[in-house]
Amino acid sequence: MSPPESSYLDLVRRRCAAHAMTWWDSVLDTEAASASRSELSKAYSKAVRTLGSDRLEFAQQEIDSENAARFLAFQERPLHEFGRAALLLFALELLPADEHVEFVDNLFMYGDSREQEALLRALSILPDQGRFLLTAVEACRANVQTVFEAIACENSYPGCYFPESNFNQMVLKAIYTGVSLRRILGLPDRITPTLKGMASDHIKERTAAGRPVHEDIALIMNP
Amino acid sequence: MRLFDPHIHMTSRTTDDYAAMAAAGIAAIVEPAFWVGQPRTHVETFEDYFLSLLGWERFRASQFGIRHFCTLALNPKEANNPRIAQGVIDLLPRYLEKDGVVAVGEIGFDDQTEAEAKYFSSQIELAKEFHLPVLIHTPHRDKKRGTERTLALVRESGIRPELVLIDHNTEETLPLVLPSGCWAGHSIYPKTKMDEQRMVQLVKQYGGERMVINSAADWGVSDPLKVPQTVQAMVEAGIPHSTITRIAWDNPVNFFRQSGRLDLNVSEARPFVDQRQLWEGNSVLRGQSPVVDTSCDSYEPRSRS
Repeated sequence: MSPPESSYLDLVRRRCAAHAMTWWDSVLDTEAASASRSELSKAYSKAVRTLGSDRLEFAQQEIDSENAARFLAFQERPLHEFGRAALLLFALELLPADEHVEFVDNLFMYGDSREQEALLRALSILPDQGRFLLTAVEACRANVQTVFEAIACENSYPGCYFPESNFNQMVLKAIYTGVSLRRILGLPDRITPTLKGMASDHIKERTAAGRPVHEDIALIMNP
Repeated sequence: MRLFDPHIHMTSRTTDDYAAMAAAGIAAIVEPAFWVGQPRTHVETFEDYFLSLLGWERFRASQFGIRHFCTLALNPKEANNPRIAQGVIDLLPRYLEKDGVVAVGEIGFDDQTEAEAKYFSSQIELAKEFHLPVLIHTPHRDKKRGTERTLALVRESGIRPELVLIDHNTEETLPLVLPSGCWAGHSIYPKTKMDEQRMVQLVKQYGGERMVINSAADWGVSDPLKVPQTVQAMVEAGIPHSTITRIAWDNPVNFFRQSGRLDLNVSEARPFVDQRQLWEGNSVLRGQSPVVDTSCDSYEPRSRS
């Protein structure tokens, strides 16, 4: 089997220290990787220790010449997070299409918090992204705030794919957890009378309880 | 004054909490099955959880002189998980027959999805089948609309309102719940939900009929002593003793007694404390001298010191 078209894999590889590069190349041995979903999943878990947490900075040349523009959401993120996103893309290139949704959902369900966060930030670079809606919606139910923020904040996926009810619940949860609504991409385009009504009820509830109201709620009431 | 905390998740709490609760006068509790902080991946995990609520946790409470009862259900949040939802529903009939299960709960809405509505309804049907009351969680977000939808669903189900306790009420939802004939629960929390002084105002405005207070203490920042603290606030606000007793003991007793399983002969008195006892070979003690207090035929408040 020939290796996948993989400029994104090289974007990771050239940032690897020597020991990490050896590991990365072994993970990308397509024959071994094709043979085992569990090996891909284990590599996804191990990436944090081998790739490390250096902040990613794409060079302008990379953005111009190597199609890195679609990965700009990972700019300034830890290298292991982008490495995991690259591994996810790699896995989907190897696996039959009818296994993709289950593979991604399992990776989320059995992931630790940082694995989940990397996956959620990668959703918008995956092929045929709408397929992964249920996983993305489930992520909004997380009690781990960093996981919730990985889907709700600086992520174009909810604005593009969430049905109205799920999007509105995510916005309300952001309000409840003190997240700035300015971090929700696409919010101005998703404000509806229903969302305004929910925000209005929230203001009344907080006022009746003698509690302060999140100042960003004005972005919904007076967009 | 003996106290009843009708909604507290002791699985997430420590033995220090049990000791402090007993010292503050809490003699009986109900622990609803709930969301444990992250999604479960197998139906079988629920089975072990149900068994722990029926077994080890009940024993642990007894070691501090507290009667422990539970409610069992698929919680609203995990009703959205197609991997496990129907499997848990299929599991419930076996466990709803168990001694110590005093209601189906907590059920209700979280995100207010179709899946939540489906399993909310099906679990009310289970409650009817097993002649149990239901404990209903109301959502944190979009709460007023969620409560309206809850009341509509309860009406459609045909369950008698006196068998329904709707929990986590606020100033906005209480005027909806009380006229329905359902019982109204209030979760007293350090920062969210309801607090002691607001609860005092609600009692002054609405009285004590079908009113219930609880701590809903769990794995988050919460306080298992919120029932006694709210009782103290009501005392200081001059609310009549009879009203306070009604809210903090009589009402939860009368609600859960409808299950026929509250075992009142025991729970009206403080149970014997005998920390020499073992549960499947396990003790709650770690080298301490066991407390043995078999003189508690009737409950007497204890000093916190």
